[in-house]
Amino acid sequence: MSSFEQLKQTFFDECSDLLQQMETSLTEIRAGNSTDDTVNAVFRAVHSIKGGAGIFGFETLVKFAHVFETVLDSIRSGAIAITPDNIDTLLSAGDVLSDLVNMSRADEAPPSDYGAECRAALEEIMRRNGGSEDNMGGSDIADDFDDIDFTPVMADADDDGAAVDGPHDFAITFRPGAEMVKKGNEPLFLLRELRQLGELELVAETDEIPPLAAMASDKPYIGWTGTLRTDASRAQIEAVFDFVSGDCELDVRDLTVPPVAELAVVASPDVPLAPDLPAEPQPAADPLPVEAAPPVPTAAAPAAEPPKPAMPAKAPERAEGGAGQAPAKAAATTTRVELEKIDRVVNMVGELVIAQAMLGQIVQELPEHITGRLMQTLDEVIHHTRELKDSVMSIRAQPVGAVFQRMPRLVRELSAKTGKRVRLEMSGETTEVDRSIIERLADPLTHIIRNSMDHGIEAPTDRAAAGKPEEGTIYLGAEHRGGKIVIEVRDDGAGINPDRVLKKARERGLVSSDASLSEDEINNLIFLPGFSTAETISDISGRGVGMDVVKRNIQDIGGRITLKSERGRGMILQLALPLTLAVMDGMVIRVGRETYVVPMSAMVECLRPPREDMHNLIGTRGMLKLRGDLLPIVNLADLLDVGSVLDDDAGGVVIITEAGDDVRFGLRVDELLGHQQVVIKSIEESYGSIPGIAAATILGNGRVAFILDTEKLFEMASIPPAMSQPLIQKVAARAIASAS
Amino acid sequence: MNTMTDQIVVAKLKPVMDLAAAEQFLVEMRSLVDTSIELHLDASEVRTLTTPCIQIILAAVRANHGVAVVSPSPEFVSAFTDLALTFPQTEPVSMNEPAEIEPAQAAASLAPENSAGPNTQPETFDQPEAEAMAKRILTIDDSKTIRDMLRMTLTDAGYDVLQAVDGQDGVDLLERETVDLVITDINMPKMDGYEVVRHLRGNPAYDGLPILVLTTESDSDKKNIAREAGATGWMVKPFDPERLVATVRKVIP
Repeated sequence: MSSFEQLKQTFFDECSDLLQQMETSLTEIRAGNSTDDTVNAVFRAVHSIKGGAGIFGFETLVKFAHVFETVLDSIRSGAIAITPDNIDTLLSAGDVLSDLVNMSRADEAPPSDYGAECRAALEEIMRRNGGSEDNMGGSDIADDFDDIDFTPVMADADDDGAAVDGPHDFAITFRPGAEMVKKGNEPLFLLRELRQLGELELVAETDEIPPLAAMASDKPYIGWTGTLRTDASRAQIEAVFDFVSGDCELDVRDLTVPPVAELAVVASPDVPLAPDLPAEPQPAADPLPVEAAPPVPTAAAPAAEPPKPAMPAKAPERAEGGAGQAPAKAAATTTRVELEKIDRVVNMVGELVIAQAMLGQIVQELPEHITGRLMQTLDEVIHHTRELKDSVMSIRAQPVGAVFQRMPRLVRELSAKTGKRVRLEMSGETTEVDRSIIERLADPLTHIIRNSMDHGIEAPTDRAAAGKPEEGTIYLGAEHRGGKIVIEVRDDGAGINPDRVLKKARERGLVSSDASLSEDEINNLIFLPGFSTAETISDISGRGVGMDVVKRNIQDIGGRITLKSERGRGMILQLALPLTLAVMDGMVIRVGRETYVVPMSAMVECLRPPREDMHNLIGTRGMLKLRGDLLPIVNLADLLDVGSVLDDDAGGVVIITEAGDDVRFGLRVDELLGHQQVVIKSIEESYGSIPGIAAATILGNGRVAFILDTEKLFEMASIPPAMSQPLIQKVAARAIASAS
Repeated sequence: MNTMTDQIVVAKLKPVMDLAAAEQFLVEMRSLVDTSIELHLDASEVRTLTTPCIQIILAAVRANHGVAVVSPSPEFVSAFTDLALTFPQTEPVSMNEPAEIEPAQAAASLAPENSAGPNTQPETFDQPEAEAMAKRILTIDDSKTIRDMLRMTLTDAGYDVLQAVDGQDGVDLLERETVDLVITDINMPKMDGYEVVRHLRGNPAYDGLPILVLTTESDSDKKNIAREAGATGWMVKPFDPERLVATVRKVIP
């Protein structure tokens, strides 16, 4: 990759961050919690995108960003108020900008009128608020982009005509001001540059150099007068002194032009350029920005300073605010690392975990008098390995906000398309989860939101008729819960209509016509392959991709999806996802002669219950009386069909596990072998999906053990869901208590 | 031409005679020039010479006609020539003409690394090229694209480049590092470019340190604010590499 290509890559990486930042801030503005700093953050993001885009010549992008930025600048300076109308325009401008970046990234030349409508709206905002069109650039933005300025300088036209007839002689007087040297400008460098323009004859005036005793080391005392014979224009000469025009006396006088003409030009600096003058041929090699050359030949300092606008007074204030909140988000010092490199570290940590487990095994087999100190050191190694793993994982971790951020736009677009009014509420965007999971979360989440918009939220009139606010609400939240991340999508729409779902399922032969199903079971039919309930397939969600795909996607990353729907009130979808896909804490257990691993995140407690607390109700399943509650228990040996050495109802350990919200059950195993970190090795690619088995791992003794999927085990044991609900259990407990 | 005294002091000028060196040079010259000694300024190793030190030399010459320059380096000569100035020059004191003085300390105070006797020939102290050190530039921009672009271009042009991600970072970094030029963006979180300039200009330690601000606009307001704050100059984004380097050369040739 050439360094230029690399730079481009950096630019697009950066754009992703900036666009996300922009989206966040725009969302805050929309929600009405914007501060000065929020607008500032949007401005900076757009500004940075524009700056970078300029380097690569993405002209359409630059032009659009410029208009956008101008409006934002006026908003942050208070010239334009934030009104609901403006917000909508800003939001769609954000969308257009994002599109333009994406097109540039894909190497597509965006149509030059892309986003023209939005741009017109932005320009309209400026116009309505008395912003001048000039300021805006309007159609002149292209020129701004080319960095050719329009303010210059009457003298140009004049010099220009003269330049045709050969070199001119200029009289030059230059006297550095007191501050010039302190500010880092050196007369020597300026005069050397001036010399490059032509033949320079200089005389130094050194009379003002004071005696050593009175001299200040940082003040210039020398002045120069001289003549320059050059083809360059006056503007070019003045451009040499551009940086110091406020800090020096400078007089450039064209000796070749008859004094009268010179006088005329000076006297009427406001006369517009005559249209018949030849177009200004700015020399291409112009080494400096010409535009700031003072339009008046004698650059007496104060005259050149325009009246100070309100801007500088506000600047420090803004920055103070900036020290407060937003920058905390814009992390202090970061570095970009290729994902591949981190993955390599993750893999090595995995191998390290295995090697360390093996070492542990060997140490245990050694005679005890040797192992004392060894164990101690090994414990330290284990401790450090764990920290290493956590650190690496936290490097890979990303806030789910990365995915959430795409949703406001989705909702806006769908709102526009469907005519439904929807407010998107989000929380927990900063919840972190492994990057690999983030990546695979976007599609399912997008689909769920689409679904909510399309099938869930009703049209405003329907909502009004149902006594709900016309504006629907979709809530998207994330939180850490018990070693998992739980993402919840909630809407206050119509919920699932069980009758329609059942009818459709029967039509499609997904359930037999005589099956009787509970409402929950019916609701869950929407996860069946090939199910689509929209009466008409819309272009929003009915694209042949159904909730079955969503479910599969979530299961593929070791997550589970649960659905609760209340007819007429809305529905809740919960995604529970593992935090990482690489290494996890597990409890190694033994059943018969087999060894398995139960994910620690699924475990609630382990106990060795007394015989009288275990009640065998039906076959291999039983109930466990635990602190007054009754829990279903399952014999793992029976479930997996491996021989157990246990009696039917005595001995062994019961692991209480969680298979879902409020769904608990006990797994009866022979023995707990120990808690350790295990590296997750997927078996799906080689063996397909095996019921009850989530993955495999390598233990310290080098043997492969399966990692159990407790939720699936629960389904396999087909414990009626009602039995595991706490309320029912309480009732059952009472029934048993009274029976005995 | 001048009243020959029996004392000749040779003072060796440092390789870098810029604003940063001027204050010390001024103090030393004040103490040397008032005496009736003949003062020879050995300019053989001067690589950088700018107006502040030139003025001191000129004032010294005016105060004491015994002041003259010995073995000026080409850089020394061209600085004077380009400013349309002249300096009195004298032949180096020959080796066999013994100089009887104790002004060794005086000479040493100007060039502490050179503690040898006063009349030694320049080549004795010839140091390895002092200019071999690349000039260092600090770039402050919150956009990595721009930072990388600057680093690429400036490194290619032979500069050492340090980077800071916002104004605060840049100001902090300057407390640890010495640089020859600061290039800073204006719109940045935490501390914007104007404030960087104000902060640096508020501290005499940074006097004469050139600061260029980056702006995307050809908006003269922003330039004026920057200038008022004390910026040395500016660059308008998007810049092409050539123009960027040309602008940099304008303040640190």
